[in-house]
Amino acid sequence: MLEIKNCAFSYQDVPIFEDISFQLNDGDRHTIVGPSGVGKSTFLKLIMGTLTPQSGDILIAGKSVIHPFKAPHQRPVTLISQEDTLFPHLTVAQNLMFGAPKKTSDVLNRWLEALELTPLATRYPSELSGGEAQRVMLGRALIYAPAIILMDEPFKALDATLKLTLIDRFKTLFKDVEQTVLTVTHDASVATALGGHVYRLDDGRLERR
Amino acid sequence: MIIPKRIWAVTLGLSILLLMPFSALIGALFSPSNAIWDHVRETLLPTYLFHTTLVLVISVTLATVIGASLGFLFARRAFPAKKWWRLALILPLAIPSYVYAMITADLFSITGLVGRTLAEFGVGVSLSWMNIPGVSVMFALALYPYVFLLTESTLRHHGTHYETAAAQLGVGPLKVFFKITLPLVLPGIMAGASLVAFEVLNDYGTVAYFNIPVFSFAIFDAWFRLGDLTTALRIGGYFIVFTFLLSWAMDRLKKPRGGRLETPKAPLTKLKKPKRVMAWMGLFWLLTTGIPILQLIHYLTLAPLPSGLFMALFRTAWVSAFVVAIILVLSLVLMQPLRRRRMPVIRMASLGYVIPGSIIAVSLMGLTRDLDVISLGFLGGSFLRYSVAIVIFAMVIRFLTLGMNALTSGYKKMGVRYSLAAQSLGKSWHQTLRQVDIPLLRESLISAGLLIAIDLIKELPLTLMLRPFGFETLSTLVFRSMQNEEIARAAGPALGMIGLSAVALIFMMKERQSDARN
Repeated sequence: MLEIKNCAFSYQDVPIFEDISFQLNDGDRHTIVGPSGVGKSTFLKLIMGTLTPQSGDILIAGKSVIHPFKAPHQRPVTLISQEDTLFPHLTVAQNLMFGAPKKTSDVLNRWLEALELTPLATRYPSELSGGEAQRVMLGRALIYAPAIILMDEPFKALDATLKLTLIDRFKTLFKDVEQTVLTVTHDASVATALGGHVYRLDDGRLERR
Repeated sequence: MIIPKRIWAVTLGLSILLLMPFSALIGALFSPSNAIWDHVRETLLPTYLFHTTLVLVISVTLATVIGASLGFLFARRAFPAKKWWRLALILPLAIPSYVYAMITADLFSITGLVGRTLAEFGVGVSLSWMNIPGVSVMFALALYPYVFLLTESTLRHHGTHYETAAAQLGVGPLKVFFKITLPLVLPGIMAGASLVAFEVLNDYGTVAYFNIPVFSFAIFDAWFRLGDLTTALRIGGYFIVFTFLLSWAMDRLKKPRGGRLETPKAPLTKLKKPKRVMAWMGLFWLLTTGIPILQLIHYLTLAPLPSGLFMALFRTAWVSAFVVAIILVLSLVLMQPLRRRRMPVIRMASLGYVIPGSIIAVSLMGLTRDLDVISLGFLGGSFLRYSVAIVIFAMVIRFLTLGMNALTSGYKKMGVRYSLAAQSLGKSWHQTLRQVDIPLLRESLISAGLLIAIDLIKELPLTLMLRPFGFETLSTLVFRSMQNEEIARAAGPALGMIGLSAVALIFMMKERQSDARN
């Protein structure tokens, strides 16, 4: 499904990855852990297409997205960022449906119910708590339904109790969908709670723990 | 942010197009000299330089003193009806300096109201405004609101946090002012002062009416009176060097030291003697806005309205709206590569506001002359020169900076996260622009559009030099009447211009307030 082959990437002449390879199969739910500043977000951006590797190749569903280069919107991938990226001018319902392939009220209502967001449908992002915003961002990615969902420190700004509640909810939601999910986090407890294989990224190398 | 290659190519092409007119200016600097230029260089150029510098120093100093004082008062003190006072005191932005010049010269003439009143009291002093201090006062009155608004917003941005901290360390109020407040607010004051400076350099109407030989006056004189475009271009070359040096100096003064930090808002202190301060503000408002408008209304009763007034009003409105639309679209397109990397060519192409209208006009005259010569064979003569398209192109070059600046700060506030999120949800570059960027930049776009409209409504040098025969706008109607000494006939178009600008100004202030609330 996703194959990263011998990729190298430097930022302002500082090498982040010199020769990194990685593979994800359909339906995998794996996590990469590593200390801050090691290049976890950069790794996801290379897959997303907002950064381009200087050498190597990235294949999604057997096709290269580097040669020829595919822009982020042309790749079957989405990214749930660690920042709040809910569009402030759109309501919860509008945010959820932003990337939806089919914009019908049935789809919306089903997801609002699944995410327990029905009472918040007409609210704006500024009126949501951190946990609610995170749920909307996940819902938005699931409704868009790309083949791969990337999550960059999705629980970073939440307290411990809320973090565990949300991880449980995420796992329940992921049970009903087929997407491949790759999460990066600095928090080993999040990696363990999410299940799946855990990889460690350090010194530009990726090793399974 | 991933931007398609074709957008990079389009922005590069547009930038080159916007820079093209200045090729004529550079070409003229290297062309063989003629007798007129030799005369201008040897005898007049030092005078132009001296007068321009003097007018600039006096008017910027005066406007800065008035504007910064008001800025401090409004940012630091609470008093009744402050919102209305602010609106009243920025209204001079709607009145061009050449209208101030016309009214003041008339009021103080022997037959004017002030002149006659003084004579009745036996005071035979004739006060002439048609000199360098006089023209500088006109500029200061028309342009101080720039310094006022920017000083106020900078002070509000910083709050009183640092001043309180300094006072808590035992530092006296005077030292706090010079060591803390002034360094913090100086970039804002200088940003306002630089806007005043560039507006002063851009002016033609006021200096022409008062007959003050400064650079912009010299360019028009070389072209209209001496009929020598090459000399006009050469003067423009010297003028642009002067302008860039000034811009470089102003940029250094505008740069905040140690970056900018937002601090918590503190409650304002109540004004100790509000009635006295409001009486002074009322008197100042009468001098800068009340009396000039009443005088214009009085002129209306003295002479019929000039023919073509309503056509000029309509033309001013549509040209302004059209140019605003082009500038906003162009700014949005040109901003895209700048979000990813520094592109000096795009920044250079949007330097227009620093370049006075007379230079842009004379450069376009040079370029269109050359293009018309080339096309003479198959198009049968002058098709570009003196066309509405050239007027609009010149306006876009001059005012693009305002659109780019507004979008730069809008995009800076917004960051790239929303655009990246939209692209990661399958939206292409143009879908992201339409569905995410434009709605989020709405307030910046409206504010920029209104600010550009205010400038366009009052715009004179570009229209005057480049317009086709019979193409009258409100500003050209006013200027023509001023030149013919038919001051009463200038009142109608002047009031139309002030009315249109005032409406745009009121909407702009409302947008600023809603932006500040958000």
